[in-house]
Amino acid sequence: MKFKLSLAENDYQTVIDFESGPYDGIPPMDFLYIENRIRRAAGDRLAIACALIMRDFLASEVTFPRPCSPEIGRELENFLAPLNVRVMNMEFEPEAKPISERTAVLMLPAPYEVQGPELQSGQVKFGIADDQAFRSSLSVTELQIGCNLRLLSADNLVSMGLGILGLCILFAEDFSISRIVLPEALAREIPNLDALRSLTLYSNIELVTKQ
Amino acid sequence: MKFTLSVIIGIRDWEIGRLRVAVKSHLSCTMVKDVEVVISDYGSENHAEVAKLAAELGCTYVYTDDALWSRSRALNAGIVASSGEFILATDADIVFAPETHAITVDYLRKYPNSLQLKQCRDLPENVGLDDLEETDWAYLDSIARTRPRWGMGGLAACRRDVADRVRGYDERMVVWGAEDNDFGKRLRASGAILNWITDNSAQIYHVWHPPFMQTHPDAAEIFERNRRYRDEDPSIVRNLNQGAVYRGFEPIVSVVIATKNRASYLRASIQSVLDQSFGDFELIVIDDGSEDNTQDVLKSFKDPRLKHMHNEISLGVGGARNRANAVARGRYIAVHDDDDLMMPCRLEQQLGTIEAGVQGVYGGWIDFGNDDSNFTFVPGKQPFGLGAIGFSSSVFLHPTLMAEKILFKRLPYHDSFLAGSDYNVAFRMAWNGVQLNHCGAYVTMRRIHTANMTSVSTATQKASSLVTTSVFLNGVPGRLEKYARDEAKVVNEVKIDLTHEDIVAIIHLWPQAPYVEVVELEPSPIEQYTGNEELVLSGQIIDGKVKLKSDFRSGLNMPLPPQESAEVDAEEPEAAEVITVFDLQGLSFVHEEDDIDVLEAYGKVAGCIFSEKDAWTLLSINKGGKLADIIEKMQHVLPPKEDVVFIFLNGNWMVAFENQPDLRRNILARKLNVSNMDFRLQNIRVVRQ
Repeated sequence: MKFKLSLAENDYQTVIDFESGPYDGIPPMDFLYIENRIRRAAGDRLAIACALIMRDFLASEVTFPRPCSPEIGRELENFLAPLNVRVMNMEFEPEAKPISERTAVLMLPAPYEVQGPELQSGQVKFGIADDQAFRSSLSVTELQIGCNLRLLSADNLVSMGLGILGLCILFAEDFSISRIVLPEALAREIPNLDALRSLTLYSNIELVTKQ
Repeated sequence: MKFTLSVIIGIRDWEIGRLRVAVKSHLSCTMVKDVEVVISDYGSENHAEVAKLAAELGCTYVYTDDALWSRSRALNAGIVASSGEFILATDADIVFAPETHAITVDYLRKYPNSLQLKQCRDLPENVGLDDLEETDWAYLDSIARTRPRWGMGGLAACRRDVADRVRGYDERMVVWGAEDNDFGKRLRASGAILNWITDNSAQIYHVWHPPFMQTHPDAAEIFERNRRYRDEDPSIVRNLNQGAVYRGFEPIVSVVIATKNRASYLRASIQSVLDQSFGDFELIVIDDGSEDNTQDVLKSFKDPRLKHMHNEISLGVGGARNRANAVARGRYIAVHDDDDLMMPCRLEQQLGTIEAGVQGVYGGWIDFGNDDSNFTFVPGKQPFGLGAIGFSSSVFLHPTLMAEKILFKRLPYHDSFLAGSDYNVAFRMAWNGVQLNHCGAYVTMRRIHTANMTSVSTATQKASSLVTTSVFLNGVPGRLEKYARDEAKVVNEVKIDLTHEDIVAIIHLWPQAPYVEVVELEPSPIEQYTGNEELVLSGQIIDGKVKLKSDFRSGLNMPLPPQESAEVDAEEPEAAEVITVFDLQGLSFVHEEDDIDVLEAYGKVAGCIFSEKDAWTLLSINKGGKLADIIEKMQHVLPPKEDVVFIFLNGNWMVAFENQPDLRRNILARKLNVSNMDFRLQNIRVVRQ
């Protein structure tokens, strides 16, 4: 699958286009739109985000909007194994890795939502906007992203959860997120969770289940 | 499910010894207790032997009697007869290594939305059946050669519901060739991934036999035709015709009706669904707290496809639909209203137009007056999108929508809207980038009556629409509104050509057409007209219903009798007797306008329509009705083509005229000089039975 990142013609939406490869599933729509600009996203985090958002459809080679580091490429292939997914664009020149500070608490929409504990200082809730909302709602303590992610996800917790996690990683640099709290129910269901943790750690994001 | 995995082997005239070897390899697998082997025998001459072998080995055996071999149909028959959670299609010339099933099932559990495939390894010609009785797998591995990934027929496995969503292998494909790749292509289009299993413990070996191309004289032509279906047909869902072998384990579509106090219309609405040409659906009717005899109407239907739900306290149409959608089993939901009528081929047409990246389809609709005889044909517009929904009109009618169920789950109806929740859903679909295609047909007849949701709550509708658009427009930059408005400028009305079947369907469904009965619907067998054909119309009046039958006969060259023989006594019919022959070249029957009044006063009038091919149908009016009214209706249902001719029959009378605006003038001046229609009208015999 080939990914392409762009700013929409209307100048305020981010669009990620997908082009399926020969064994990839064809997604219900060929783009993800996000009701915000992404101002900073390193190649590694962008690659992780794309792979998590489209995980259900990946089964052959992937080309990300920007090259990722070899270790992210390798970790991604590990996470997606035993499927024969191959990362095609890796950058072997070293690239600076973003360092962030804050913790994001992942919020899932209906019917998967769970009531989490109160936010602690320096934490931010991260989720997707209500299905009746047309735009994002951004504040210091809560980010609700307007997007069409819910229509790209299959009808199960893992698909929706990994999609929102991918979206969170896409915004991690802009919102200084270095730690993401997964709902326990989601963490229990994710196959290859250890490989996923290892993958995100290479981009300086820690996945945890406790705040 | 009775078994974990059902192995489906489709065969025809296969050597018993080879079949035994292949089946035994499946029965020697490590997870044998969970595996069912289904032998689908598609018309073998030695079927008694095959059945005996199946019984001996404990296989499920299904036999289909058909003169023409079709691996697609054989596999589908096997799938239908199977009872495994997963299905694995393979051939009778493939032997499986012992771990292959277990590894395949493991992948299917990890990746439920997938088609698992395995590359075949070809055994050399000198490996005989004896070598395979006690298989040395390491030895086979050392002598086999890996085949390229050209075909997917050696091992193709998926969950049963995944096969259901494309309705199995394409049954138009005969013999074999391209059906496996076509199946894989359509599953990809439905979102499934294709995974080639690379574990070395999972192996399949092809046992040598003479190549098909050498044994079948028409092989190249068959392959080419199958390939064309695979490469040129973008549809995902196949086998929608009534004779299809494939039957889904679950219905592929759920028709959902929300109703409240509409008992008088509900029966016809439900019946129009149950009469669909495609029958593999469920119909959910949710009664949203009716106080009339809705429950009696629902209970009067005994069709097992109909399920009804009841809300003690009304949730509103949006809430009721959400509740019904939540229990729907179909991959798709077809929205239908309790006062509307579904065109008989709607489900078939809409399912057949779903393609990759398309989450739903809508269609044109026909407004008909419940208390008058007005018809309005609204074809709808495309492309669907924000511009169309937000800034154009008559684009899309909600009860014409069929879309993936998950769409309705992710974007449910807003249940606080008493009306207008359908517009809200459509707007949000457009905003989210959902692609809906127009199916190119009229799919719904919308009844216009005083109790329409739109007529009783116009103000509420408008308020809901305003709120929906304002939540959007007030929140986005003005330039986005401009983009959407610009997009609306390229939204165009869809051109729908009415077919003969459409016209017949409309008349059948139309409540104001009680006298219509069509007895012969099959098109004429003549493909090319030469000018020598005869059209025979057979007329009969039974219990106040006009029945006519048409037939083209070629090359009879019947001599034309004199025109005065047109006078016929309608009171003295003789069975199957040729009563008269009209020479319409002169059209001497109706010369004066007064004659039309006579015609109208006479009694029932039946009308026939002749279009480009030999499509024809009937309408009738009551005694004292106006011929002009019926002509107008017929014009509504026909595109304005010059070569369309109407003929009206009434006892001894016949009137013919072209489909032109000034009909009366046209009748009087009629010369029937339409060059490409002359042959059809030269020799018409009216036969009364």
